[in-house]
Order: sequence, then C-alpha cells, then structure tokens
Amino acid sequence: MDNTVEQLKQEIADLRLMLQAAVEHGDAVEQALQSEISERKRVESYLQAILSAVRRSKADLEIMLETMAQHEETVIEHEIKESQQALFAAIAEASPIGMLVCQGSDRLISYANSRAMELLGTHILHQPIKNCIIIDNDYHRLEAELESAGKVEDYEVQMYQGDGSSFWASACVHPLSWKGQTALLYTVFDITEKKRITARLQNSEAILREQAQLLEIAVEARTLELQAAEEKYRRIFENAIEGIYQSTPHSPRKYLVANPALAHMYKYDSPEQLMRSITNIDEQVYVDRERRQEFIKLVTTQEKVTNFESEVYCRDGSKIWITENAKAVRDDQGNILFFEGSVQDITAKRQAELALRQEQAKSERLLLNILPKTIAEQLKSEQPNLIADSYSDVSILFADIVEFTSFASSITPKELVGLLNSIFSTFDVLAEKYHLEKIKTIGDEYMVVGGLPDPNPHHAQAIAHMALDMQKAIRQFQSKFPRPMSLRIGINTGSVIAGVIGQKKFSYDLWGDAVNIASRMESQGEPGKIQVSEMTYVRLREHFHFTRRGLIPIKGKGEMPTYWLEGVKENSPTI
Amino acid sequence: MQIVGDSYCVKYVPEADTVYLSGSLRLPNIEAYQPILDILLSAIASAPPVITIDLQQLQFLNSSGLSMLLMFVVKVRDKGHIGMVIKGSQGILWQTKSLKNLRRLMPDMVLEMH
Repeated sequence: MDNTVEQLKQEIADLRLMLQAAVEHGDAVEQALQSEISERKRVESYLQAILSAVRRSKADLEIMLETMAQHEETVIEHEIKESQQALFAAIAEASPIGMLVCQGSDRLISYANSRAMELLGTHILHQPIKNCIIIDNDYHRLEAELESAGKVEDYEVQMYQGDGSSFWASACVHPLSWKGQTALLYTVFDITEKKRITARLQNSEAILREQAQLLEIAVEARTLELQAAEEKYRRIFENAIEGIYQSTPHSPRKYLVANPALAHMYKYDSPEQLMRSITNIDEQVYVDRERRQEFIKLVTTQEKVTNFESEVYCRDGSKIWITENAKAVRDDQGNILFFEGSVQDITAKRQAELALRQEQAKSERLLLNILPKTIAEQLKSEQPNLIADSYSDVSILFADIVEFTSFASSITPKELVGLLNSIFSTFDVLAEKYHLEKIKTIGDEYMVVGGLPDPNPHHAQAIAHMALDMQKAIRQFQSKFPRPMSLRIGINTGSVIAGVIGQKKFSYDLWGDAVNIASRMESQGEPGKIQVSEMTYVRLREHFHFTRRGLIPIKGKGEMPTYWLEGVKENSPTI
Repeated sequence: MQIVGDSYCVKYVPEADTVYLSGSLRLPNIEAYQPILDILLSAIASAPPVITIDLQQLQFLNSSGLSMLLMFVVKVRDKGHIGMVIKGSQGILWQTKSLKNLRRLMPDMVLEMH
C-alpha cells in the first residue's frame, strides 16, 4: 500500500506539475493566440481595405468595359460609314456620270464628283441645284415628281454648262443617306449627242415616212398595173383554145393548174373537176406508158419538148390524139418545181393526115402505073415541059391481034372489051416477068420495050422470050373462042428517045427510027409469027433459032433483011 | 502645352484649367497615349477646383483613347476634391453614345453636350 500511495503521491505531484505546465502553456498559447488574433484582425482590416479598393476598381472596370464595348460598336459603325463614304467617293470619282449629293429643302450641293464639275462647272458646290437648271418650270416639275414618286428616273432637262452654255441632260434623283443624314443623289448624264441623233433620226423618219407614202402610191399603181396584166393573162389563159397546164414533177403526178380548154378537151366539166379526178397523170391520162416515160425523160433532160404526139384517155374512156409542148420549170439550184405545157387536140388532123397519106399512096400507085418510077420521080420533083432521055440500045416489040375487029360482030361490046382486057393483062404480067416496060396499047395493038428506063444488057433476049410467050398465050385464048385468034409480032433493036410530052393526059412514049422499024416488022409480019429486024437477029442468033424471011422495004432506008424467030436454043441461059 | 499630330491636336490652357482635344485620335495602343495622358495629369497636378476637358472638336476617338480617358476620370475621382467638366458635341455620334458612361465612373462629373 505504501508503494501505491507513494506512487499515487508521485503521480499527483506529476499531475500538478503537468497541470502547471499546461496552464503556463495554455497562457502562453492564449497570448500567442491573442497576438495571432490581433494580427489577423489587422490583416483582415488591411484585406478589407484592399477588397473595397478592388471592389471599387472592379466597378470601375465593369463600367470601363461596358463603355469600351459600346464605344467599340460606335467606332465600328463610324468606320463602316467612313469606308462607305470612301467607297462612294471612289465610285463617284470613277463614274462617267455626273453625281451630285444635295441636302436640305434648298437642295444645296454638298458633294459633286469630277464628272459633275466637268459638266456643270466647278463653282456648283454649295449652290442650290436649281441654279443648274435653265428652265424654272423644269425644276418645279422635277420636284413635283420627286414628291409624288419618291424618286425621278430619266428626266430629260436642259442644264447650264460651266461656261454658261446649255446642254441636254438626263437626270435621276434618288434618296440617299449621306454622313448620317438624309440627302438626295442627283445623277446627270449628257445626252446632247443622243438628242442630236434622235433629231436626225426623227428627220430621217419623216423623210422615210414621206418616201413610204410615195412608195405606197407607187406600189398601189403598180398593183393596179399588175392586176390589169394578171387579168389580161388570166383572160388569155381562160379563153385559150389550146389546153394549158402545170403539173407536179414527181410521181404520182397531178395537175397543179389547168385551163378550161384542157378540161373540155379531156371531156371534163371544169378545170377543178379535171384536177380533182386525176391523181396520177401517167396512169390515168396517157395510153402508152412507155411513150409517156419517154416524154418525161425528154422533158427532164432537154430544155423543152415540142410537138410530142400522144394518145390520151378522156373522162369517158374514149381516146384522142394530142400534140404537146412542155418544159420543166426549175429553181435556182436546178431542182424541178413543176412541168408546164400546152396541148392541142389533133385527132381530126391526124385522121385527115391519115386519109391524105392513103390518098397520096393511091395517087402514087396510080402514077407508077402510068409512068416508070424514075420518070415519075423526075416529074414529081421538077416542073418540066419535057422529060426526054435518049437510049442507044433498046429492043421494041409491037404485037397486033389479027382481025380483032371482026370479032366485034360475033360478041357483045362488053364481052369484047373484057376479052381485050384479059389478053392485055396477060401480056402485062409477062412484061413484069421479063422486066420489060410496057409502053402503050393502041386499040388492039400492044407495045413493049426492053432496056429502059433502067439499062438491061439482055433486053433483046427478054423481048424474044416475051414474044414467044405471047404467041403461046394467045393460043390459050384461041381455044376459048370458035374463031381462031392470032398475033402478028414485030421486034427491032436500036436507039430511041423516051419521054413524057405535053401537059395533059401525058404518057411515057418512044420516038425514033427504031420505033418505026419495029412497027414495020409487025405490020409486014404474018399471023402467028414473030418477025425480027437484022439488028435484033444479030443480037439473038447465038441463043435463038431463026429462019430468013427475005427483004422488006423500009421507008427512007430501002430494003432490010428480016428473020422469023422460031424458038429458043437449048444452050441459051435463062434470064 | 500642346501636342499636334497628323490629324489631332491636344492643348492645355492653364488659365482656363481646360484641356482641348480636337481632330481624330487613332493612336495604336494605350502606351501611345501616354504623352496625352501626361498632359491631362499635369492639368490636375496643381489641384484646381475644376478641370474642364473640351471634346467638342474631337471627331473620332478609338478604343485605346477612350480607355485612357476613362483611367484619367478614375484618377481625378480618386484624387478627390477636384471637380470635372466634360464638354462634348451633340453632332459627334460617339460622344452622344459614350460620354455619358464617364458619369457612371464619376457621378459628380458635369457633362455638357453642346
């Protein structure tokens, strides 16, 4: 227990010491704290002072910032205005149009660009714009329009130049904001030149109008002329006897124009009906397609086609003949625009021509019947009084029916002539056969010649054969009749003149001694026998049999030996 | 005492206790305005009862310039017992807008807009 009490006392003593220390420490701390507190209080008041100063500065700064911001806006506005002004000034100075800025009710000019000064003079600044306008009334009207419309555009007005002379200007007025104030922008444009040109144009216009009037009168006169001409040609067209047409150039071809003559020719009631009905000319109108194609080819390749005859169908299907003249009408490039042509009805003419040709042929045949072809040609081509040719070497045959007239009593005249016709026709056939020229018949006498009009070296032989055949032929006739008929034949060879003489009822005949001798041969002959002259004998003795007859007296020539022609030798060539 | 620049003029007339600012002030920064501020400060150095700042001919003032002016106003205010009169022009737009804000800094200021 002592320990514990000692311990406890010690502890209490310790505690008392500790407590004292603590109290002393506490006091010290408190003192420190106090000084700390007063120090803090001092700092606090110091800080408060700073704070209030800062607060004040902050307020100031706030005010300053706000002020600055507002000022900035104002500055920017100002700068913009300044640059706008600068821009305006730059544009105005560069502009070829006079620009004026006027302010106030007096319209005082507060700004004028260089061009405005050029136009109106350098003295115009601060003047009322009214001074630049010559006629007061013009200024008042300008003001009135400005008042009513708020702007003015293209106002033509006379203004003073710098030197006092006048000029024409075109003015516009528009409201403008100028350095913060309302103002008016006047633009002035020199139209002196324009005015002059306009005046000249008006003058020209007046002249032109006058000319136009004169032209109109002339045109009217011309139109009347043309109408008269058109009327004239229309009448010709309508009244023409020939058919006139225009047709399209390419298939299917139609009529573009047709006159009444054409319509009636083709048996239509009117040109309109014709043009309506024909939708393909090539097929409906022309009979011969190939001929039509030939026509088309000619018209398109040649300059024109004339007198082209074709057969065409009429409305009722009947056919007529036409003759056509046509040409192709072309444009500048050579393209065909249409065909143009005229048509005539030649049906009657053609028939007449046909008849004429037939008649001509008949006449020709008739003529050739009478004359040799060469003589007929001569006669046709010349107007001769005399066609006479001499032939140096021909053979002439005369044949006479013995006692023909005694037959007359035994038969009727009609039978007689018929008999004669038969006999001579037979002889004509023989003459044809031997290419001999029958000259004539005189009553019952028959004359034929060989070697003319075309030369024939075998004429004598041909005549000889003919003579023999004639004697044979007459014997056939002989057998038909109770009374015997016989021929006396005489032949001679020599030169003759052959021709046609006289104007009327002429015939081809022969003259000359040779003819007379041949006639003598016949008249001095014997029935049923053929007597030939010496000349003929000489020509024929090689190929024919002869017996000598004797001497015959020939007028003017004395006596001549003659021979009977008996027959043909076997070795004789056929002719 | 005065400063004449290309487009501006700042003149202190001690007899009138007035500083005239005219033309167009566009100095690039606040440091450039120091000379002008010096003139202003010299005007209040003698502690006149009233100092007049005449801006009627100052067509243009940029932001730096205005901030200089504002700081001068604060200085005058803080000095105490110096009155301030600012004369401005109704015809100059920025003045009609900005000058009234100076009064907020120094309510005792007299602002005369002519």
